[in-house]
Amino acid sequence: MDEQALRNEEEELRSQIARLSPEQKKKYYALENQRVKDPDTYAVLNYFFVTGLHHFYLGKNLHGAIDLAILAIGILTIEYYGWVLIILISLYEIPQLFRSQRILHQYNNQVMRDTLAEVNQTPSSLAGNV
Amino acid sequence: MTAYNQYNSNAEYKRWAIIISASIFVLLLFVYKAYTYILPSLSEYIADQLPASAAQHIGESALEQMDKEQFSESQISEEEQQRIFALFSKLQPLRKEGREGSENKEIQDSTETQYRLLFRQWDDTANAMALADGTIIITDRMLALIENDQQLAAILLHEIGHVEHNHVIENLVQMSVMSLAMAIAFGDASALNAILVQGAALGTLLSYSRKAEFEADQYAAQRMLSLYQTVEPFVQALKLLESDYLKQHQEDNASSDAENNLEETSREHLDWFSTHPNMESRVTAIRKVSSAQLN
Repeated sequence: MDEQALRNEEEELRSQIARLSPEQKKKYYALENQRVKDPDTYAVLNYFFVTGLHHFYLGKNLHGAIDLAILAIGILTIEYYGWVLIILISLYEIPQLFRSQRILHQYNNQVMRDTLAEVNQTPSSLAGNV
Repeated sequence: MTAYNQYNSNAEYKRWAIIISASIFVLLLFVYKAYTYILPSLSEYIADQLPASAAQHIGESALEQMDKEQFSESQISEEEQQRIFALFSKLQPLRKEGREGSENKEIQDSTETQYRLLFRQWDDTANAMALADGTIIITDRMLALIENDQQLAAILLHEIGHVEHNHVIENLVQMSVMSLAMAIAFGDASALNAILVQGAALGTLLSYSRKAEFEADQYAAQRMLSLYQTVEPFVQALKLLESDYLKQHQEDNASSDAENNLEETSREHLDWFSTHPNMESRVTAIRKVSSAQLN
């Protein structure tokens, strides 16, 4: 999905949010505020792409753990061609580094969609006060 | 705080705990590997690329400084010196294969080491040391301690081993790279300045790594086997040095008061034995070379 399509999707979600009741909106924004991820933080973590820290940031713990394990094995065996593993993981992660803005935009749109669904499903009188 | 908010902030803390732990893990792993493998390999490579004139300059500067500050004239007779020179000339490696471990043939050809042996007195220190340019210095006390020529040959061969493996330059490059990395990491330019100004003098005062000592031992053991068909004089020389070191250490402890502790400690580190790895593991490694070669 390109950036324009993501922006359109976000616009569509924003218009759905605008149609929520004031109480639901309050609830929605409280949740959204905590769930959406900061693009700058994601970008900074992405600079260390081989470590997989950016995956942990988005809650993709398995993906992050795989990156981390491969990197650890690569470093520990660097004298026995462990550097090949580090290059392979770099080749896999570098394209994602350049697509990081779009990846995060997509993630945040998904968060908005899930939160919207959650707020719509929860009776407004009960939401948030369990 | 609502249950939703509580849940989300807990998840957020957990997420950052994972990120921070993973970062620390990677950082520690990298520092460990950089210190144990990347730094030594890089230093070895850079040291191999340096021209012979650099080793010459470093060796001369180090000798000049030590002559000025540490050494005094040797009391060994001219006759005895000549006898040891004759032994030393037999020990010098034949130039067929170039420097040990070096892969750069062009550099090997241009760095044919000119060995020379110097006698010096250094307080009461039993020491032998190799400078980057192939100068080997042996102290009067070391000569007094050694019981025969084969033991002396073993000590000299160990020092030749350091020169053949280019350990002095490697050590210096390693310290410089490490200090440079620290200076960059912590933003301290004075450390960088110190390297540039005092680098040459450092070359002799730093103790070698365990790996370097074992390499020099291995070189000496192999040469002892080809020259004398035994490594036992080498082992005996090490034992003599160890007992002398322990004896002197006890005397130092008995005589030094609290005020002198710092000075005594710094002198201990200049002793040949104190800068070398564990005795037992060295003897085992030397005998292993012997049994491998004889079998």
